[in-house]
Amino acid sequence: MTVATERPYEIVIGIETHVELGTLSKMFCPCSARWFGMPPNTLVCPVCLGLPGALPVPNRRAIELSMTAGLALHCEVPEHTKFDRKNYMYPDLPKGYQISQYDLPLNVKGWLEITGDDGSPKRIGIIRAHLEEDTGKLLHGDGYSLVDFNRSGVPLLEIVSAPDMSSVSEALAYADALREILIHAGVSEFRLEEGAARFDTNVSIRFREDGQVRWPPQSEIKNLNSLRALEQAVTFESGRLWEDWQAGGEIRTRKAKITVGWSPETGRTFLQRRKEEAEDYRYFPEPDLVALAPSRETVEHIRSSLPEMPSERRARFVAQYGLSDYDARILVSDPLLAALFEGAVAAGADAKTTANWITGETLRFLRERSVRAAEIPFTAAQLAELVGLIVKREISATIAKDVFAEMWASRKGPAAIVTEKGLRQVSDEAAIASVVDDVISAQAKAVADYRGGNKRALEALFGGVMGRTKGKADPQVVRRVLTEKLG
Amino acid sequence: MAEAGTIREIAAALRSRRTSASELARAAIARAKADAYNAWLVVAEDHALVQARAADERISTGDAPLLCGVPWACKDIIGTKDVETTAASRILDGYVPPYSATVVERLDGEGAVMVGKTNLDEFAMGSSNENSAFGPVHNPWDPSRVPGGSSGGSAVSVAAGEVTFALGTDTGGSIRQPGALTGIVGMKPTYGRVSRYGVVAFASSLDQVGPFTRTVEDCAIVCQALFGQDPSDATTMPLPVEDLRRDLDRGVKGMRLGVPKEYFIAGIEPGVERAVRAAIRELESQGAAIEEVSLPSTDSALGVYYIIQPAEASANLARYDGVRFGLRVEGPDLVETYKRTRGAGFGAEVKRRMILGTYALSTGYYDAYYVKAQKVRTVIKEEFERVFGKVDALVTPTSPTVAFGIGAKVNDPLQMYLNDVFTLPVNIAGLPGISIPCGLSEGLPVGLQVIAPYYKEATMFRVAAAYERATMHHTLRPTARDSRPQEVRS
Ligand SMILES: [Zn+2]
Repeated sequence: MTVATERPYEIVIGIETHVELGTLSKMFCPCSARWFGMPPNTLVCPVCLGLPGALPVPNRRAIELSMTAGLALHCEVPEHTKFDRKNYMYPDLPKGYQISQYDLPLNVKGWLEITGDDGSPKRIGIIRAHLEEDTGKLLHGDGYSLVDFNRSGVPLLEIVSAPDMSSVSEALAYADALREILIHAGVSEFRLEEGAARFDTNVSIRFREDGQVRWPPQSEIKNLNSLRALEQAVTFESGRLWEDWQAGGEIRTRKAKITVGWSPETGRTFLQRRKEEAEDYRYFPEPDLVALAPSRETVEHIRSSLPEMPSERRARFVAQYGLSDYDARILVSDPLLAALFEGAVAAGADAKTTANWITGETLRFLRERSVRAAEIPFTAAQLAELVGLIVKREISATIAKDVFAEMWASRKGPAAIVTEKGLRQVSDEAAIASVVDDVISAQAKAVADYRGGNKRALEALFGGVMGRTKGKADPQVVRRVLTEKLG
Repeated sequence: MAEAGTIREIAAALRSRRTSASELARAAIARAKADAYNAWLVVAEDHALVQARAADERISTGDAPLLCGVPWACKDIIGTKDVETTAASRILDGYVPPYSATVVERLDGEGAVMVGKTNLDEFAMGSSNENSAFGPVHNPWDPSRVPGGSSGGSAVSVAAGEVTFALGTDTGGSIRQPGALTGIVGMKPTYGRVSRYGVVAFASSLDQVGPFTRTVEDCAIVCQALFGQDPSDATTMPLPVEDLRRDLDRGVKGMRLGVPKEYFIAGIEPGVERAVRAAIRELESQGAAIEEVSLPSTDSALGVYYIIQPAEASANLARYDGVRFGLRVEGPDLVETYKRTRGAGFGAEVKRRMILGTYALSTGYYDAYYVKAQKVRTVIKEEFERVFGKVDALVTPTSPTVAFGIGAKVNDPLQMYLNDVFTLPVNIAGLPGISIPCGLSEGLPVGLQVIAPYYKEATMFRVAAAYERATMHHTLRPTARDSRPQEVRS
């Protein structure tokens, strides 16, 4: 999958993820945080507009969710934490400073696990995860810009990874794992498509040249808002750095990092600023807020109420249910699918068959209808019932698909559907043998072909039997009886 | 045109129907309009008359609070819904807040009648009220002199008898110093006692709202309405507010009062020192034990203050960018629009402090300035706390000088800043402080400052009221200047 080993250089990647927390209200005011799709400047108040005299009041839920995220990422929650002002002027930042956290973030020193390029588990370090407020949005017109402050003040968690990823595929695996964990922990819906999650990605290349390890300064690619953009931008920028080095370009003399943007239209990065031009944010403690001292009881309470994390759950699915890693991964990728699976198994269903029906038909139906798992119309118990019918060979796989479709359409239970439509599988040998006799006499040519050595002619006869029994005959019995009678 | 009475006088007159809130409001509006000291930026006539009519109705039901119908003036840095709020800055030209500050809402709730908005140093940055974009305020005791600042307009509106009380803000002495220089009571509460919500922020960790009044009792009555936790200000304390008038009549007998020796420094005017020493003797004669104490870091306070205050201000004033409200001077691009707007909108002193503050917070200087200042701030707090282990309150001069001439110090910011040396340590520590009149020097008022431990405003009022009861200084009026009232002699 990866070509990293074929490259003459290693890519070093660290990712800063900005993700909006799933709170109802904003970080420092009571306005609704559900800004996506709302008419501009309808979710605003003096606080999130930065009007003179307005003061921030911290959203307790956002602080709890931040700690939940940190604990899910195996972070420590320090005993003392505080908010700071990050000063810079821009029209989408109404106060002229962003309330953020500088030297005492809510979470430090964590990790998450991905599958590395060599196929073994790899820990990616989390340096810190801190809480801040989102900015408004600029809408650019011809010769003017408009500001929409609906997003201003929405709680944002910034998760800073260590530069532990060594390839584009590891970067994508990290982003996926992070997304999965935050969704699982109930911290965020991680809606990249709505701009509610963004990546700033630090990319550098490392290689040996003239017997020395070279590691020229990195590029920070700002504001990547999809996994596709992440993949393309990192691929492009690492390649560009290498080519620049080979060509004896500016990277050979540059001492500090640069900040670049990504243009999906051109498929290229573009220079935003050099370190020398970097802004001095003049951080200082936010005097409008008091310092926080999360009690150890609170931290332990949050830790004990954390749901099982995806990597642990995956490992458990493989060990406990004998699933393939692939199936476990798909099931765990969505908490609802995982719950459906475990619910059906708890109701007595065979684990592997259940997994197949979720990763197969269920996902196909969701995809074709473009709906989320929340809209699956049947219950875990109903799925268990369907799996039971299949395993006991009361219906064939083909019939089961019809029953499944009927379950989706009518929301009836599978046993009721089978009974109602008379779909129960026929396994009675005598009944099947009489149909086989009919087919052998009706399809003389196929019989002659088969006996003449064309084994594929058996399929035509098999199809004939299944057709006459409307698919209800047990296919294994049909095959055995057919070969016996023809043999 | 009689002057405004005290709250108690007004409450009695209103309840006996000798006057009405509407009549009082009309008289106050007339006095404000006739004001000769440039104390007012807005006289909110219609607003005041509407409030007065509502107050009259409430009084007629027989169930009105003490402040109902009492005319007051609001420093124009405190936001008032539907009434222009400028902070005496061009940058807020035309800004009408869509909401009122919590302190204004609380006074509205009491039925008090806001007559208008008063002049101040731009964004409260100043000690003389000469930094207003709308011209200096004159001291009614001598119109060629400053009234002090930054709440100069509010101080004058009370000192000149135009309203019964006024609200100011005090970041380094901006209530107590003008109170002293205009001969009235000016008080800064403990940090965290009064909501800052809706008050245009200057230096967030230092700012507090407080009243100007004629008497200590009036001050306690207004504080009673202002004090208390506000869910909109995370720095207000969740403390019950006790009856602030409880100890007004207790006297100081048996109290231990500290006199910090560092507050009688070179540079204090002899007449000021004389008046303050006489006041201390008066308290001693009433039975207080006077004890000299030491606050060794007092002379570091000015340095600490001029790091922390401009640093916070530099961030607080970043929001004036011409994008959402106030002045906007269009340029060819965004940065140029910022520069032109802020260049035209802010006055010299505001720019000076933003540059100071930006510098102090910059990479490479932050530790040497801001971090060090915060450490010294802690030392200053600890020194006060140690002293309050020995004494119940401190008594000091409020200002080293009486009112000085307009223009006398404008070209020497450092001299101007020195005017606050006795008041700003109180803000740095977050303590409550009050200035009360203690006589005249060269015919101009001198203030006595009483500083109390955290949340001990009632103790502070007790000392101030004991002194006030025994003396007549608070009854002196600026108009009496021509008749040369007796000076305090040592
Ligand atoms: Zn809001």
